[in-house]
Amino acid sequence: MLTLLRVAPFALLLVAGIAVVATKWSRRAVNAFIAVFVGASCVAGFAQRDLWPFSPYPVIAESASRWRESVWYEVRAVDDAGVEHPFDASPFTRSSFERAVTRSWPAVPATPRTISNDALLGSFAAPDSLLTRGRPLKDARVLRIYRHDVNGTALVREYGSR
Amino acid sequence: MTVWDRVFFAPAPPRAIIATRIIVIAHALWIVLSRPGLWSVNPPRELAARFGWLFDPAIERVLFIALIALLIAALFSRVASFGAALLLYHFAPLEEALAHSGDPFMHGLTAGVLALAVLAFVPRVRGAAPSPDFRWPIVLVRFAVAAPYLFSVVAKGIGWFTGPNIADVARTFALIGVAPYASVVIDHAAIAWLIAIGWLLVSIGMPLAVISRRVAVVIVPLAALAHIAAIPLFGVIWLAAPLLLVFVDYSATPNSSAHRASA
Repeated sequence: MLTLLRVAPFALLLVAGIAVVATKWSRRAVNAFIAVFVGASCVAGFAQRDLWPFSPYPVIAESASRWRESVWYEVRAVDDAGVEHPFDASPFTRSSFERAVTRSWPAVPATPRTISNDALLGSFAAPDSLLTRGRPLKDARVLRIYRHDVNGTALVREYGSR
Repeated sequence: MTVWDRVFFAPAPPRAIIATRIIVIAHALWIVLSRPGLWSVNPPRELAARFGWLFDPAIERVLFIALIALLIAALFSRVASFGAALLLYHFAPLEEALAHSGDPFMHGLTAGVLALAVLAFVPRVRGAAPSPDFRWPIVLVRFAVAAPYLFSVVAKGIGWFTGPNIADVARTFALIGVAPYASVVIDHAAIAWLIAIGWLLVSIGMPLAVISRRVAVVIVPLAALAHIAAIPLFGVIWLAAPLLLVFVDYSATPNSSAHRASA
């Protein structure tokens, strides 16, 4: 029920918009539309309530003082010569990439055949919201998963065969 | 004329609406075409009713193609803009599943959903004279673009904006390997404080830029610069940054600028 209530502000905005057109842009209807738009935005923002697309935008809102607890897993691809390459997973759909990494190596050569983020626009595709490095190495034979934390970098898993 | 009238109903030329529409639609198309797997994401069941995730993949695929077609048609049609807003509401939260980290607000389509919903109710622009009804849609679209800056300050609290915390943010992103030049912030307390204070001023200034051209001329370029700098320093890419172009004053003509300059 609460979930459906969160739809209400956007639905109300659309209804108010239809009223604007139906009244041939009467000032009263336009004012109501503006009030719904600004009001819903402010309720979401100032009360920090999720009324998406009216959003509270808690962008990196926590204090970073606990940065030492951060853990991050990085994938590197290894070519035929045994050289490691940064592996940018963003061109793959995240779900297909994670399936490949967490299940088995043989799935990886199949991932380029799934719809990937760079399938239509190539290098003009929108990047991820975090900077990633390198292009996918599609002929790689090995994937290595590294764990980064405050103590350093450690190899935790290796997929594939050389 | 009241302040409300001055802000929302000062006459604007139709080309300002056309420019805003092109920016919003081009940006939405850029992200939608960059996530062509949106229709195939397995969404969480508990949110299915809220976002209309009720269809099987074959229908989702048709809806996704319809979204692309409606976004293109929305350049010319209010009805298409309305349809595109509805379908973008349906698909935009799924972008989270196809890009790393964050929530829907971290990605670029949140303001686009609201902007398309506003542009669906704009009077016909073809052959139209400047009108008060071409002003309020532009103001609301700018408000949607400025909202993340103001409300993220509410979420963070003023105490978040300190040099040491900014340095710790840089350390976090350096640790996870996405910020190649984080050391510039970590090693220089003055730079960290400059970023903290500068970002706070930009974030508070953006809502003022919605209603003041003078503020916009200063704040919007600073915001754009900050987003560019954040890529090497923190590894964070703000996908909605291109929407800052809606703050350009498309009402001004070269002639009127020259006239003002000569005056």
